[in-house]
Amino acid sequence: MSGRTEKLYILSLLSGWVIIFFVVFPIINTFAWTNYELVIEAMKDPQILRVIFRSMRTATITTGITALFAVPFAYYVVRHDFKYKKFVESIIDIPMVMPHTVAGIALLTVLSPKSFFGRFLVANGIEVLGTEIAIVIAMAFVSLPLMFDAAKEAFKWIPPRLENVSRSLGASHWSTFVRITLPLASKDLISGMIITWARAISEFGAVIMLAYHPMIAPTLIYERYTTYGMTYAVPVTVILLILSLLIFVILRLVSVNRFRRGV
Amino acid sequence: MIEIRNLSISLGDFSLKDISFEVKEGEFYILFGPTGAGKSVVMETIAGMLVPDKGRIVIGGREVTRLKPEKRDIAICYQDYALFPHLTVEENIRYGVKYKDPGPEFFPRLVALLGIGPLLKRYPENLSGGEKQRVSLARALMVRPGVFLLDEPLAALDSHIKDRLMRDIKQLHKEFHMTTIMITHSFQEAFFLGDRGSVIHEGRIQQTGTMEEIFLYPNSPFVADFVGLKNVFKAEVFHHLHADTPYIGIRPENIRLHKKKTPASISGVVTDISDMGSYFEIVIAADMGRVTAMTMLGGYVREHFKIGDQVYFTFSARDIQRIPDYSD
Repeated sequence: MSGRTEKLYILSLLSGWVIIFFVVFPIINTFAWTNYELVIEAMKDPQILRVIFRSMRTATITTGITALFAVPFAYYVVRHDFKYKKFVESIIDIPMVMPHTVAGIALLTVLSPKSFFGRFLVANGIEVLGTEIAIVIAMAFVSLPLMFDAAKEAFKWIPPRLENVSRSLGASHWSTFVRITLPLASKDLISGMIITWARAISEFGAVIMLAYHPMIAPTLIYERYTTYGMTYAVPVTVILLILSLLIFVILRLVSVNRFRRGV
Repeated sequence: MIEIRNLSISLGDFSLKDISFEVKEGEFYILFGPTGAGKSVVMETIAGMLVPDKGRIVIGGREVTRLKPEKRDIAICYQDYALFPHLTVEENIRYGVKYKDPGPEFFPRLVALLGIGPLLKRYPENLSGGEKQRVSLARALMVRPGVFLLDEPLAALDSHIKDRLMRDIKQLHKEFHMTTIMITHSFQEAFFLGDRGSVIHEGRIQQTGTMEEIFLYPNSPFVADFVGLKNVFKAEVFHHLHADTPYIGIRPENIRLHKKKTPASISGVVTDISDMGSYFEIVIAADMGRVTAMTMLGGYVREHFKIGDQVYFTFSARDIQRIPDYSD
């Protein structure tokens, strides 16, 4: 290889530079555009803080709920072969290919007071639209596939033989899950939860269909941009961007599962 | 004692048909057969990972056919060790103590017997294949299982490590007298370790007996071939005494091969030569069919056989084995 330049590699490398520039330039530019006095002001603004905390709270609740349902079912799917397995897995992935506003409308057809289920909710005094419950529902709908797929990957590499040995040594199925499967899957499950959280906190299209108010951070950025322009939208953007980058760093740190090598 | 009665199970294209055998208390029992014969399916059914469609499994007088794996008093060792990667060697070995405690003096005894004292604080990823299998054996024996299942424990190891571990397994069996069932496709392992055993092929038991019986008196052309009796020929019966003998067999080591014609020798042409390490396997095309002969390194060098050579071979009448056909 040395002393020779392969044209194909040069082209491949060039495309890499284009990609990196495409991702990094807007991010750097956002920081460059910012009036930091406005960022500090924004960080003191109780309305902005409330919105950002609401975003974080609803994303966290969403992650917890999706994990609660997706992790057990992913374990079942990985350990069993059944008829229409691929079909069932595809159903769970559908929200990933839906435009988010479409997802919002689809949810609205269920939750709107004009629908059967919506009428049932209203009749029982349960308010969903325009509440944090609606935000969580919209976030969960679009981020559930990520949690499910991550959980499947987390369990897939664990050889069933490890569980067989554990059981032959006297451990019940539950004990085996707690002592063997869960510790081996935990790192991958945690990175799956972080990705789900990141997806949830960035959701906008589906959320505004169900709840423009109470506002979450992306809605606030959108409203500030359409009402006051870039100058007032960017400070909130920067806060959200820093938060996202922080999550990204944590994800990179936890996502190395050294036990994968040991099996 | 273990009793397997008429075990049948279907798994996709493969099925196990009517498997029956008994393993006596403290016996070392071998299930052997080629890859894909169904040995592991039998093992996993005994261990409770698979539930049979038909048949019964009785361990120590207790029917366990439908019991969960953890209720069967068995322990299993796999070819790929299946050590828990997030636990140290010591934690691996002590894993089952929570469910069945063999007493405080047992752990040091086991560790000393297997010579794994220096490994206790390590993680499995930092062990060699031989070390991993020792730890896996220790982990299984730590719960003093009623039945000890070994699924090709030596198959993934280098030959010199394999020999040592084979002796260790023999020693452990002598020490603890655990009722053991081992799967292997190596007749050498089967012969060295086993008291009795069964040959399995295509989901059926072909022959059951002591290792000597199976080796010396294979009951079918398949078993004969499997135990190394490679020259099997359809017999033409001229004498009424052996009228039930459809096949005869001659071991490759009993075929004497020369380049010069000798009295009463049969001629043929060398079609293939395989280097087996300490000996050579030479395949000859003769009028009676394909004949495999074995020659030690010395003989091979002296005669210098090549593919295409005209050769002559002889064998003694007393080396001819009669092979019935009870496989169906």
